Amino acid sequence: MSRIAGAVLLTTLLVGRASAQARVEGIVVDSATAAPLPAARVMVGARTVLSDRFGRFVLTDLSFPVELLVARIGARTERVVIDAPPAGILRIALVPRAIQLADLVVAGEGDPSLVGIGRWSIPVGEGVVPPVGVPDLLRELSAAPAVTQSTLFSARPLIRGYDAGEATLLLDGFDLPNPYHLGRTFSSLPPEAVEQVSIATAPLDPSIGGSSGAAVDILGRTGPATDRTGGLYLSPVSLAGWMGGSLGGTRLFGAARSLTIGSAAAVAGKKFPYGFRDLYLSALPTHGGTPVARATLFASHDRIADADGGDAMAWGVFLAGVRFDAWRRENDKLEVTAHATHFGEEIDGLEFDGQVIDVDNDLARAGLGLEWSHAVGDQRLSLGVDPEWSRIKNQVTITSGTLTPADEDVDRVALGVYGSWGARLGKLRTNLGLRYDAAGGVGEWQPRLRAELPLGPKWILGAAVGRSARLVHQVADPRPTGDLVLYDLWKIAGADGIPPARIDHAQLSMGYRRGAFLLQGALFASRGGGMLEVTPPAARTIGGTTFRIGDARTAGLELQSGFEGRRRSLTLSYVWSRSERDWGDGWIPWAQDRHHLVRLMEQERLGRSWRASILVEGLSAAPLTPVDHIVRPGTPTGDGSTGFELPVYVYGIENSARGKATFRVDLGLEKEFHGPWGSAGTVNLSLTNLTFGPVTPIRPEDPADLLGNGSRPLRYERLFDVPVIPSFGFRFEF
Amino acid sequence: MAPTDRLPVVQGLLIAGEDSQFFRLTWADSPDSAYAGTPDPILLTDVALTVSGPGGTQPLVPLGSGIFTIILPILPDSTYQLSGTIAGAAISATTRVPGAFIVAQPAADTVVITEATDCADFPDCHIPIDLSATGATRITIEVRDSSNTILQVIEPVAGDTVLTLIPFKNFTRLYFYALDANAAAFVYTEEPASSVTGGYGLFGSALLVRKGLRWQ
Repeated sequence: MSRIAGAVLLTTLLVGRASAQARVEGIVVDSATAAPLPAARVMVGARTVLSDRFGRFVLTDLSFPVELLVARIGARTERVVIDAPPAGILRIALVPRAIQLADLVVAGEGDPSLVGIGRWSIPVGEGVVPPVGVPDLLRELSAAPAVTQSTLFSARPLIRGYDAGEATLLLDGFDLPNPYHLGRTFSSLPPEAVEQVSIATAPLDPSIGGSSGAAVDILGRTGPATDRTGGLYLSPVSLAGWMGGSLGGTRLFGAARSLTIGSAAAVAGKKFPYGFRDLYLSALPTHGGTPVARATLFASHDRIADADGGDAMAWGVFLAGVRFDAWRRENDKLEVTAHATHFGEEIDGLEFDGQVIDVDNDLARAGLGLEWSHAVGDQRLSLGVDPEWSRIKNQVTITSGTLTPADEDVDRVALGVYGSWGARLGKLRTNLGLRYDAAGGVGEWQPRLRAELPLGPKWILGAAVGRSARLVHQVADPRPTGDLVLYDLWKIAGADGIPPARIDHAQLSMGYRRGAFLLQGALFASRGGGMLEVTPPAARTIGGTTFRIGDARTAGLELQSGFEGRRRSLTLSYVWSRSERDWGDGWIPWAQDRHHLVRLMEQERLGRSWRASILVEGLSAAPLTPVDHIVRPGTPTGDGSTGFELPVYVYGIENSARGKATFRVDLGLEKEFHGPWGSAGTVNLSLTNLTFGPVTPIRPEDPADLLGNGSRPLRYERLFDVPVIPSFGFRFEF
Repeated sequence: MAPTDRLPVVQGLLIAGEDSQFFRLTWADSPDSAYAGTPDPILLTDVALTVSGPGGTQPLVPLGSGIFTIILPILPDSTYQLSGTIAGAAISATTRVPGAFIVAQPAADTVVITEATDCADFPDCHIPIDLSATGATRITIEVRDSSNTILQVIEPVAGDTVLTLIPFKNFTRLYFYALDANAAAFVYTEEPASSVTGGYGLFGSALLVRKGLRWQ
């Protein structure tokens, strides 16, 4: 500890020595709405800083005149020349521009910077990603090559060979537990409430804990400073409305969404057995036009009625968070956050697959965050502490069958402490951080290092190594349509011999931009332990647990190229990857391991108001546990009965074979229109899975189908067949 | 995805208090050949298996095509081992017989179902149950007809006080089983787990209570 304290003191002295130099404090805003723009890159020569969640930035140690280059996805890059230190806060307004697919590869004109290497930012609701049935926030993450989904119908992002449960989801910087609708087919945060969703691969910034893998950072919308905005979006699945405005210097925004058919039924005075409601609210108080705080509220509720109209299943998410600068002086800032979240789910005697399920789950959290940061010149020092209280109640009762029960009810206090130091050493930009998470007698140190080296105006190289840990497990289900689509299982590290999930990550990245051509690549690898997943029924043993603990290792190469022209923009991605697990009997492929991924997305403007898009995706086969033998059970008794049952399969080594590849083509067509009083809108049509698949993995046929089948051997068949899915969307805004 | 060598399937459920115990020995089918549905019995010349327990050690004796028997007293709360070879391959398994099984309700040896009262919730008929077992992993109830065919299988859970029967009047027998862990993982499960090392199948044990069933 004394060495760490010494390093912090030395850094403070080094950073402090330069603090007398000229500085610029600024804010980046949207020119149309005056909304602050976080994660904008502000560059001076080889230096780059990111605007914070209030759109603010500080540059010090400047020599005037100075030229700032400000870039952000979805905006025209702005050049600002300043002759002398500004008296107040410098306001830089970025003009929105039509986002092109290629922007997802390397954003920003003339800037090949990969600040935040292994990170993709995806604007939502801009039609950037070709529509897939119905727009979905987390499904759009597939614009990043690091992300796949287990099937066409899953919204859960699988990131670089790890289950979605290993990643953390952040809404406006606050941990958001389990935001999914029925069957996790859709995420519960309406796209209309979101400005941008970013995906950051591990190792993460030291300020992010609670994740052993990646982080999905969702940035909600804010209301405009002047004027009012609002709109409606209608699709076959959901009906959403949103509105934003300013009240007494506070920018307000709200969005709500519900199931289309449920809303229609309610209008008609009828009841529909399934429904959901989502609500997002944000408030941004300002002082002199500069935001001083941000408050976020999100709530979502799903309900499935039983035959009597009561609740057969109900679940929901609640999040309330606030963030403000408690103190800001010169180059120092103390940011305070507070949050409360709750995820609850109840299942009352649901009959599923011959089993009866009762669930009473609660995951409640309340916490604070304090982060002090000091920035001078190319150096930035941050220290933070995140105390949190949580209650984890996980009560699952299963009547017969193979589903996994649970019985936990724990209150606990957790603490996260971190520090990071960023600096430029010659051309090399580095960020060195250390995080420590502790709860219930278990603690995990997580060192993280990132470095970037620009090689001229076109190339940049990056490297990162680090550890991420997770002290509460969300137990994964390796099957594409597994049991845990119905409920959640949590396990707490330190209890009952459960270890923390701890993964060491490394990656090498490169970015290149020449004219309209862009290229980004990454080599990544990881090795970790403490993975928890439901034991597949075929691998269960008598007296064994229904979940298992093991090690993980991954490796891969991601390449994504982009091209942007006047009317056409496209990205082409290729990923080679390996993801394996060792459950105690040697390394085997992870159930969702896909060796090759090719994904093409293209968008083309057709005339002044039409836009067409196409997505083509091919994935090599997922692993398959082969059937080695077929057995017809029948236990003889003294009465002469053999009690014949249906045939059963005796499986070979888990995931030792490969199934069949999957392939899909989606088409989208969008027409913009303009209405009276400045209103505008779009109508879009989409065809998902135009080629009728194949889009699902294969599995052995139902054993019952073997009986009376004539004389043929066992067949492997697709999990399910999916026809072409037509859809539409109507968006109107003012 | 070609399977490996032929896999012997051993299925034996030791039932405490029964005079004889029965085993069924077959070869598993290959997924690469046409599925016949009728298992291929293991020839008696290939079988050299014994069962050992508190009452001694007895060899499996052939009764018919793939059916074998042993005459060995099976005692509650006792451990039994299966060992030997099938076609030269070593086979072994162990089972621990449940300790006790009490069927307090229905108490009579023959359960009488009166349609007017027990089947008021037609098409279901209800009779009270009160079951308790020691050392058992699961309780299973079979409803059989006069020719011993199993027509309904019921799996009550702890706390159940009512047994729901389908009102077929040819249901004439109730078999209450308290199953050990091996049997519970194999019998009437969608994904049976094998308890036999060197092969596949069941070497389990159970306590059995039989009741008659009469409709009126």
